[in-house]
Amino acid sequence: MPGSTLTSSSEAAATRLASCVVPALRTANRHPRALAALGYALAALPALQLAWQTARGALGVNPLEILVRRPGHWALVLLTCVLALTPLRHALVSLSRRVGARWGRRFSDWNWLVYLRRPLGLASFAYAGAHLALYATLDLDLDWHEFVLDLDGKPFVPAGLAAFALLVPLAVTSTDAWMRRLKRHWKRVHWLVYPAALLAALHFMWLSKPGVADPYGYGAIILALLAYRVVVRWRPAPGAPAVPEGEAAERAPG
Amino acid sequence: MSRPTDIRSSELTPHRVYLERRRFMSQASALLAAPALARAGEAPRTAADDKPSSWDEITSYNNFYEYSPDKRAVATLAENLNPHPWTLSIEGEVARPRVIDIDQLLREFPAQERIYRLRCVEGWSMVIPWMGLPLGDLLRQAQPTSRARYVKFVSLLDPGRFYGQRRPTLPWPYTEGLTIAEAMHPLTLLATGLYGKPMPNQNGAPVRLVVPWKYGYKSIKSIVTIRLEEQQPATTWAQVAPHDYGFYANVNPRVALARGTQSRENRIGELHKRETLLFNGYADQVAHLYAGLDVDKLL
Repeated sequence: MPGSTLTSSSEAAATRLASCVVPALRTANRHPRALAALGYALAALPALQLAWQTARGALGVNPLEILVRRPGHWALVLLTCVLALTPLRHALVSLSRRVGARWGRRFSDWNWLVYLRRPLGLASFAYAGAHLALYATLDLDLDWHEFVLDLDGKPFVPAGLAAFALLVPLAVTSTDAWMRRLKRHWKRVHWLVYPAALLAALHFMWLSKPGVADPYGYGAIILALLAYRVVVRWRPAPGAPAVPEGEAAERAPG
Repeated sequence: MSRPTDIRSSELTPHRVYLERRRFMSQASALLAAPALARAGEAPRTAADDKPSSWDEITSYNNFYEYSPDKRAVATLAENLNPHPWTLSIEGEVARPRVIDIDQLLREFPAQERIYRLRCVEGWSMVIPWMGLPLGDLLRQAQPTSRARYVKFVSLLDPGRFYGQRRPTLPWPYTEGLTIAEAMHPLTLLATGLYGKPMPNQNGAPVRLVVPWKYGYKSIKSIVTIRLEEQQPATTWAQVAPHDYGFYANVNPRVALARGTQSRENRIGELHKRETLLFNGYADQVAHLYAGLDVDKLL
């Protein structure tokens, strides 16, 4: 029976995979601080690469363009990752239940994803800040008049600035102390990440010239991740709390 | 450094000698300029400190949608163009229309070197030592009729070699236009090479337009047709986004275009922007073409 052989061999492979992965994920769930540190380390890699290339003069034909644009790009990538964590957690729970896995059926099994949210979110904010600072120094030469011309010229500049402005209170209130102080209002404040992501995507789309597809890819992904929140609020996933649990269970590390 | 109009074909120099001379000149001028710089602190940059962009810069950062909107991808995608044989048709309102082979064109009009600034509407600029012939020489030979008020240029349409034409990013083929006065202006060049070499594929082989006082998108590449017409031709970018890309497209730091202000530019390789000059610094030579017109309104 080739069919059953295939099934049993793929089942065996799945079991072997699970026997490696599950203990690792369990360990991750028990070590939120280490996981956060890993998140910061991973998120710092693009900055290290950029610094290395800058020091070696290896930024290619237009270093000014790369220095201004690449941090902005990583701010958007990391913000997209942050928004993807909750849907990913839900999807992994559903998948575990569907395939009948013993581990992974509970939301708490995937808490390690939640522990990554603060490092990735703060890293996104840091890249956005670097992007703004490099734009202000290299692009504008700190010339206020040029800045006003830019603001006036095209909507992508105010959109990007607004996105960054919305991230500032989120970064400031990202600490445990602020979470305790704000109590249930903390979630309300951090709802601002949604308009911030939308504005960041618009910033990218509006600054790009015709024929460039990437910004629309990011726009579509961010729109889908936001739409997911609306759908879940309106029709909770089976077994999930009415409010997406990722947002509710703010068991932040350290 | 000579102004572009001062450069004669007799100054034509092989690439290596050219580079050596450049190096000597930059070292010498650094020595000469040192006391002046010390006095003036950070002096405003002017056309005087223009030095040609390197071969690598010029040939690896190309706006050429026929291949890709990604400037860094164009050089690789352009490798398979094979621009020979190639014919150029001069037609429309001319007494002597002709279809001329590119090799014949080069025999009839020996290449001259012209060092021009190139200012892209995206906000970057280069300095490029082009080889080519004044477009006016070719047009005069074709004898424009009294009805010839505009010149329309059309690029090759061949999605087999221009991969970017397989997507409708722009209405293909790429089309550009000039007034007859702009086309006959001695600065307007039909370029066939750069740095003394045949035109690299990614820069618009085998023959392209160079209009140094206009934004780069006017300088259409890989031309197959030059047609003299009575009516102003519809041009590619002006069709896509009429408010962002005009027909005249004269470089003007006072008028915002495309993705924002055009007051400054990023000279390729520099980490600080410099002021953009009216008509890209060629106002003395070309301002008379627009006498009586408001150049800030002439998009």
